[in-house]
Amino acid sequence: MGFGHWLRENAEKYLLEAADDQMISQYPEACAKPYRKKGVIPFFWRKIFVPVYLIIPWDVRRKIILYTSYPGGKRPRWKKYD
Amino acid sequence: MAQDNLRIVIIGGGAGGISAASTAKAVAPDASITLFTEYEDVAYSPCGIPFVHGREIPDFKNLFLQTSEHYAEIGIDLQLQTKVTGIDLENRAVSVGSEPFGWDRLVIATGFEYDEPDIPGINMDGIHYVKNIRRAMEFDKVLDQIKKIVVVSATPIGIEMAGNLAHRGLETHLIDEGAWLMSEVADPDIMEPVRESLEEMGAKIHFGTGVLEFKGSNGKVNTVVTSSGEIDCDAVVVAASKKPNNHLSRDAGIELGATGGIIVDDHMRTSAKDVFASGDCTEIIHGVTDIPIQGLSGSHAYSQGRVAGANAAGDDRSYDPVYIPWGMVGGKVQIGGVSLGETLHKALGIPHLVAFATGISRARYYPGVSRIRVKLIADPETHRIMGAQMSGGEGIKERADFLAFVIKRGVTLEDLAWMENVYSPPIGALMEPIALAAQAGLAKLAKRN
Ligand SMILES: Cc1cc2nc3c(=O)[nH]c(=O)nc-3n(C[C@H](O)[C@H](O)[C@H](O)COP(=O)(O)OP(=O)(O)OC[C@H]3O[C@@H](n4cnc5c(N)ncnc54)[C@H](O)[C@@H]3O)c2cc1C
Repeated sequence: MGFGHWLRENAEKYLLEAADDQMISQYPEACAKPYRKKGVIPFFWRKIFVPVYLIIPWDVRRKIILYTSYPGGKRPRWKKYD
Repeated sequence: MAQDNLRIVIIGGGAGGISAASTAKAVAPDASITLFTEYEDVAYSPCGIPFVHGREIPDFKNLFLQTSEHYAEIGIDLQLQTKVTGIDLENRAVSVGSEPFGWDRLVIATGFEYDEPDIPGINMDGIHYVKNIRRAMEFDKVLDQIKKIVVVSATPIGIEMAGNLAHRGLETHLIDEGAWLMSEVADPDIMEPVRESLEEMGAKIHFGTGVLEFKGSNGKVNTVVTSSGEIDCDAVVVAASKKPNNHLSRDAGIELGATGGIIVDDHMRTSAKDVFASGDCTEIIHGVTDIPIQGLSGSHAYSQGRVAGANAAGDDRSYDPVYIPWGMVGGKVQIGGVSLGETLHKALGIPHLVAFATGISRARYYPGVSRIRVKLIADPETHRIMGAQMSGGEGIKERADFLAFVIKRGVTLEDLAWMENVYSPPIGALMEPIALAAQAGLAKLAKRN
């Protein structure tokens, strides 16, 4: 698994966890307590990666995601609607 | 421009591969087209399998859309039960057994595999994955003999299986680590009616529950050990997330992206010359975020296959970024949406405004009327629609398709709040629920300013 793949897989998992927590407090009647694995690695992603990620403005973050999505940051051609 | 004596090879006989083969044949009738699939069949709908298990559809025969003979008649050489073991880009050949098989253009449509969880006992007998129709036929016979079944993961396939197995009369347990059903893509308020419906049908739902181990005797599963106790069972269905099946492509040196899917451009071209790809083995650009995503649906695989097949045959077609309208029945409730819901907007940290309304599907006095909850997600600055989620009784699919177009064309909350709509008592209410949600969004914005 390359760096981009590893980053994406973990970022997705822990960002989703953080979003779930917000949704649980917003819709408590429709939610249960989720099952979460504990340990040093989850601690890093939850307590360091997620808060840092979320303070970067979305436009900058989107550029970082796109850059880390492709080997060498080279994005193939796709039509853009505006 | 079509080339004479063109040899097109396709790996995969799912929606992505079979549509590539048929389209290539239509574009270049003289081309030689060979399709390899490791399965026994092509051209059936795996999407219908849960409904045959649930006896909503009487027979697996109904899921076949075309016969193998049909493909021979139109000049496609189908090589069933034939596994491709390697792709040689330099010599333009695939390995089939010990033999190389040459191509001028190659389409890779190797599809998905389940992200098999790393749980002790996962390889025991009685643990089943829903994909191949022949395995499903065998499993259906097993279902006749058993009483208790556990479905692991409340993904869309897990929910369809749980609903159908409960409908068949089995004691069905659905186990998921999340706080609500389909928590990786859908929102809790949208999924709540599905939970209620599944429970009314008799399914037992275990949220916030991790599977720790499968135990059994004589190599056959009979117990699922979870973080909240043990559940006895006669069989297990694992409905884990899909991941791209890209072993061949990786070994050949074709570039894969951060999702693990094959990187393609809008012509479904891969990083290798004259090699195209389509379906669940690829990653595709999301229209709203621009971010590549993978694991889309059969309908995406089918249309990507058409583009890949046409281009492999010499045409010049492009595929658009995706907005992903989706819809399904969970229990007896229709749910659906488009693009990202509220949870995923939060996860990515995209600034967004959420607007809700509950409307009705037909005139309130007309028999069969059902409630429809619509949730629109819009850009708080431009008011453009970025996503939606819905639950209700009817018309969810059509609304999701419409909203996908709405997002693609940059429609705003204002446009939707003043949209025109059909009013006809048996099929449409005076006030369209989408318009009501948009009006609620504008009211929310007005309060903020
Ligand atoms: C139970 C279920 C329900 C679903 N419901 C829906 C739904 O309601 N709506 C929807 O749109 N989608 C649905 N889907 C998803 C949809 O089926 C997939 O998105 C679609 O099958 C992807 O098509 P594909 O051609 O990319 O890959 P696949 O269907 O995975 O096909 C891959 C093909 O590649 C072949 N292959 C792989 N490796 C090799 C090799 N080395 N050599 C030779 N052949 C090889 C396989 O034999 C197979 O023919 C459902 C899927 C399942 C399993």
